[in-house]
Amino acid sequence: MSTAQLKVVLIVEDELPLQTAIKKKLETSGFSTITARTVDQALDYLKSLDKVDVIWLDHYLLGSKTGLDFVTEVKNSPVWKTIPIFVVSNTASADKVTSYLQLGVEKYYTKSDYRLDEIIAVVIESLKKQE
Amino acid sequence: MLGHEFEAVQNKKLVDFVNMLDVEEKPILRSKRPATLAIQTQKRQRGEYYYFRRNGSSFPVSVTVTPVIIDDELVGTIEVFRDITRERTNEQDLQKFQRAVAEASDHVVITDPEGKIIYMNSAAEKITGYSQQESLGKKAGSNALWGGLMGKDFYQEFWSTIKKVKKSFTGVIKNKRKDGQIYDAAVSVSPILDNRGNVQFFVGIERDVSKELAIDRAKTEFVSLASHQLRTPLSAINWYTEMLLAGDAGKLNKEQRSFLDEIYHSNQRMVSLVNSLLNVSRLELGTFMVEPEKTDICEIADSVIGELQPQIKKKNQVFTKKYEKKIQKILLDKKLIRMVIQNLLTNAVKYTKDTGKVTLAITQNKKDLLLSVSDTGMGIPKSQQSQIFKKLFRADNVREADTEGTGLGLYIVKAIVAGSGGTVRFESEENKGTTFFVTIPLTGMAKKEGTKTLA
Repeated sequence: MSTAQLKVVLIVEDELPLQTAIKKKLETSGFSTITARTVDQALDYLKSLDKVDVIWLDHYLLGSKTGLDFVTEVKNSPVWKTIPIFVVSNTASADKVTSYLQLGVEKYYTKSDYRLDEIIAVVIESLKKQE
Repeated sequence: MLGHEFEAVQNKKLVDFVNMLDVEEKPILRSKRPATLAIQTQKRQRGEYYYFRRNGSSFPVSVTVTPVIIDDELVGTIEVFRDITRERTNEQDLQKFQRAVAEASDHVVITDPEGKIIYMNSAAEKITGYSQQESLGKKAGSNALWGGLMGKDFYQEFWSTIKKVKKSFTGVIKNKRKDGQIYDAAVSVSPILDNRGNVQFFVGIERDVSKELAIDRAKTEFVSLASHQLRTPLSAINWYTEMLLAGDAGKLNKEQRSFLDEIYHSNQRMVSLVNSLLNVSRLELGTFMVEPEKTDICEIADSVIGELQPQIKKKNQVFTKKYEKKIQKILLDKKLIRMVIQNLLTNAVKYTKDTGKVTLAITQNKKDLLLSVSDTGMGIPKSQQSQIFKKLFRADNVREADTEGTGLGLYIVKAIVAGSGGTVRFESEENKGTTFFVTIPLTGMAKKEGTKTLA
């Protein structure tokens, strides 16, 4: 399979050890990845890249903007709004989960309660449905 | 009374052989003594003084000196005095109590049987901001003063306890100072009864506990924050171990695999401990959400049983479920009720030996659903039964048998069930088994807006 055919995941996670683990596991599972640690960085990638198939998003990020600000921007754009977003965060406050789901993200996971392969399996499943 | 012999004082003036002090125990001039005044004014004199006995000791007296006038001529005086030591002591005792109450640091209010204020001490004035003068005659703890912030049910229970049952009421309530500031008060109100058992008055003692509660809250918030911060490194350990075990970094030998299994397992334990601590802190902070929806409790129970199958099989236990046929769907928060069933069933399976029995029964009564979880396990020692719902408590026998476990499960169960208007109790005998009984009212759980769901 050539690189061009690989699905691209934009990983937005500020904790480097976690970011590295996610990147590694996604790549082993056959994805191509780009990583960002701030909302603005992530938005720049979206603007400059031809395609992003999936977004893996944490809530608290570097800088003052959170994952919620990012999702709001993405869902307001006619081009990006169809990209499935998976929120993987340790901030399990109900009001935030509700806000994310209302904004239209695919799923919300509490980081410490899930294995990477569990989440990736759901990501793959949802991409298959999209096709 | 004075210790003088009649012969020794005969024909002497009283002023010459009885020394006295005034009522404040200060020396008194001869010209101001009652007898002198009686003679001078030719009028009867009354007062309280101290007289000295012959032996030099003094005692309080009530004195009346009456001038004796015959044919307009003063012929003498009659001095009657009475030892008032006992009255004085009683009075002093009373004063002591009065001052103790008046100057106590706790808010003290006394009301008539209708609850109308007849006394309040200075602490009550200071804490509430209302003076005694403006409060007298008003109903204690009413809207017009510092109260009225609690729900109708609270006041019903409150008045019924002190007025009908005639018992003391204690609790923590919200009060409002005169300037509008709200504070938490630990309250104790007691009826004072007469010989026939009728309420004479009520005594209310309150203490501002806002600070204590704030400290407690800060402590709980700290646990919540700390637990939250712990989740990030725990996720890193989880995920990297997962990848190593999956062979993502190359093939592992048998020993490496078994070591990593240990790391993974221990880390899972830590994750679940952190989750429990977070749940406890949310329950205590009251920041958790209750989202009731029509729920089939048997469905939830089945899913928990499904999850526990591996352990049940491994221990070769006999699991029986007895659901009554028509269990009505009631309003429940699925996550919360699941947590209750999960904790009880996990305990039952965990603390019952291989080939033992675990039974879950669900029945519907007139007013509530009854869940009972019984096992033939190790039981709870009698001496520790009263502590079993305490936070972090684990009975000695289970601690010995199994070092894992947090002592938070039953605490969480109790908090959830009590918060839903239900009850939880148990019967247990050591080495025979335990049965837990949980009731949930058919009216279900009440919706509660909060910021956190229990995870």
